[in-house]
Amino acid sequence: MPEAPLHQLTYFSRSLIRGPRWFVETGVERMVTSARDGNAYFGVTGSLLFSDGCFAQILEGPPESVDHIYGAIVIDHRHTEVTLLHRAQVTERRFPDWSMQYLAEPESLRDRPGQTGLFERLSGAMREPDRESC
Amino acid sequence: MMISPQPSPAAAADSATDARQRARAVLLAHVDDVVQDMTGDAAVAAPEIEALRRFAEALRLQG
Repeated sequence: MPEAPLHQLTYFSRSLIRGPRWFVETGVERMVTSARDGNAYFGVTGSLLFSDGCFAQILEGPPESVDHIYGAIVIDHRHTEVTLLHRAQVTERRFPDWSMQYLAEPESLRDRPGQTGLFERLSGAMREPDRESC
Repeated sequence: MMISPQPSPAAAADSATDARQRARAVLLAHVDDVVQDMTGDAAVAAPEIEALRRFAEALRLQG
């Protein structure tokens, strides 16, 4: 029997979980725990990166399940400015063993001085490049 | 009265695709930077670095 089609979706968003570091970490971990339960139920796997106040996530699974999970993320009060980066049919899962793998930068690597925030750089890339004036 | 030309639907779709591609390149560069920094940090476990590499690889395959 042929396998059902798989879709892979990637987005980024700005986190609205703000406050002291312990509060942010606890909030994100709580979100990931909840996501794992939901994703496992819907047959969705993937990987979530939390870095510099941004989420970037790859979801993969049956198209209708990916739609359902992504739709919930778009209206989740912990995310804002959710932006779709990629969606395509794929032949295999890249994260078959993870209902939601969670990747976070270690504390020692945060707060890089002199660097524009990740969200600003991603948002800038989504805008049209400025045309040079004549 | 001057009327600004409106992009065709096909041109608008191309533009959105380009924008997403640019943003994916920014995200990929960021993940690569984090991987590089983590590789030099003794406090970071190898599986975490490998997981980030897999994330970067998945982004690369998206073109």
